[in-house]
Amino acid sequence: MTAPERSEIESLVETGRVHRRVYTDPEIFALEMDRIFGRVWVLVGHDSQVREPGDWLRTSIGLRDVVMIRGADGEIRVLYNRCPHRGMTVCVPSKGTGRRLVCPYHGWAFDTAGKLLGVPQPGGYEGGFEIDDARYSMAPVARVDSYRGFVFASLAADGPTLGEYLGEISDTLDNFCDRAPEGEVELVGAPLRQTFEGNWKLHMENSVDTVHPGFVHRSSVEAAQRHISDSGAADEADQAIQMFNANGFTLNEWDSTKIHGYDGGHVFMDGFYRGGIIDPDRRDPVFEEYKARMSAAYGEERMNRIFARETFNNLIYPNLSFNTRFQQLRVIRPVSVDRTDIHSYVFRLKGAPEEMFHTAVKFVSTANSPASPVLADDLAVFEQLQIGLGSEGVEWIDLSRRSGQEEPFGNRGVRDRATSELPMRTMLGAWRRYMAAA
Amino acid sequence: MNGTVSSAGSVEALLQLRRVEEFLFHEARLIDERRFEDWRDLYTEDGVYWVPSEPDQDNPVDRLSIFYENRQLMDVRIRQLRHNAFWAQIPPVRTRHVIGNVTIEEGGGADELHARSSFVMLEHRDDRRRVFGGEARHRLRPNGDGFKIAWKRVDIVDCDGTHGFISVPF
Repeated sequence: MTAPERSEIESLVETGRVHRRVYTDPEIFALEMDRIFGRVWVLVGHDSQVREPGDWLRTSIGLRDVVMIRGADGEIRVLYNRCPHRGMTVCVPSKGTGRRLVCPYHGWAFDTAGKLLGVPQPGGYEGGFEIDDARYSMAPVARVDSYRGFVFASLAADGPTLGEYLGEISDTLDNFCDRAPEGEVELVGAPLRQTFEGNWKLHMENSVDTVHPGFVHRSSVEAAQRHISDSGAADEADQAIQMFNANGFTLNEWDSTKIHGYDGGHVFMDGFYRGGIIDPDRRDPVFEEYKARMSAAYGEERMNRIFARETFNNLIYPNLSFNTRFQQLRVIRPVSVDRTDIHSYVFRLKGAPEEMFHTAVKFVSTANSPASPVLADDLAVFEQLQIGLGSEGVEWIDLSRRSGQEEPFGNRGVRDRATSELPMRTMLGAWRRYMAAA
Repeated sequence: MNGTVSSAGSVEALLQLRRVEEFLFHEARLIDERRFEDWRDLYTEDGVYWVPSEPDQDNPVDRLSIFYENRQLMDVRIRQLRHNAFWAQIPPVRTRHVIGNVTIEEGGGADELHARSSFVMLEHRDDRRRVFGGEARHRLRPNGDGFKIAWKRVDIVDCDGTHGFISVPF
């Protein structure tokens, strides 16, 4: 398979339209795994998943199977999950702990930094077995760095640092962590796992598409509205039911919200609804206690600034979508050009009352599980979208809404009304740059 | 087991087991026949329907779940299942349950009975077939001639697997 030429890639993304091949061509997908997932900084996990030396987690960077491990020296490393001997998967379970990693095939053993410790049969090698030869250690990925506990890796030795890559979108991760009285979040338990037969970019684009809820989520919006009107006050309703209901914002209401894009492909949306249980001004004992702890940790003024920084979905290119208010993060995992897995995680705000975590768990379950009434509609639509995009004959899709009407934002960003197709243009602009780079 | 029922206690136990089986068959049939409101009404007002996302998960409070629904959430789900623009159900799913291995467990009391059963659920939608299966645990409260469900936990064998969307309870 030969990679498409640079000019061919560039011709697929124009200012207000995109060729359907971007979502449907297996060659393009293979190139994405190389030029995007094989180069940029990709989240591999959170440091709370490997708390103690020797703890490891099997994870991935694009289609590459890797292990995130905390070494005996406390350092977190990311290793290709592949024995340098015959290519066997070294870490087979999803997680584990130990002083050594031992390959199941021929028993080669590695320390927590991936360095070969010994082989059962060192004899038979011409000139003797060179145990210290770097070829015989588990290969580390080129670069690993973390930001406020979120561990990222890049398979490229050169390129921007993690800080440069994140740029101003790091504010949203800061705000996530700052909402914890101890300034840290903690990933808890295993993720919810879903899959759909569609391209990974469809989910990323949909997370910041404010026009779709009124159409795609009409059934859950109206089900929630009818439930609330038949059963009493909205504030009494379950938080998830309130969220279903909030998807029923009118397009004018969405238009009063802003959406922001950075040239690295990152996007965030201002918070848009404030009712009920996620209302920063609500008066209930748990929230009062939380505010008291926040105020004690940060002082009143800084606390108010943290709460005032309200965002809804935040996207870190290429495949993270997180929401600070719901304490949730989704990792969008490409499987093939027309299959994508979604892993949804819940976080604890360290130092906050435990009841807030329980509320988040309940909410994340209802909004992210395979049985979620909201996500089911999205996934059903993605699958039909993929079918539509797969049909030859009509080659382009349109993303020109409010093109050219953006205003500058921050140092390297733009913003506009939330109903703009700015976020799709932002992500596809980044896509075009990464994909066209030789 | 000698194949005979010799004491009155055993006859009563068999009858009770039979009543529980009939109830579980009835519950499954309500789902398969899409009589979702009738299914919901089998639950007590504080009834809970829970499908964990991890094997041996001990609670729905600090770990994520596939379903964790009270009557409110069940009500919203059923209203959505009845909606004509529920895209995940166009066309609607068809299901059929097979329930077996029903036993009455220790740990209940005079006003609550603990049942355990296995199930297989075939599902078809839009030319795609799936099979779900696993174990259900019910806490049943006597109600007239039958029962109400106070709590139902369903452990599907692939609870920690990757799933496409699921709209109808198991």
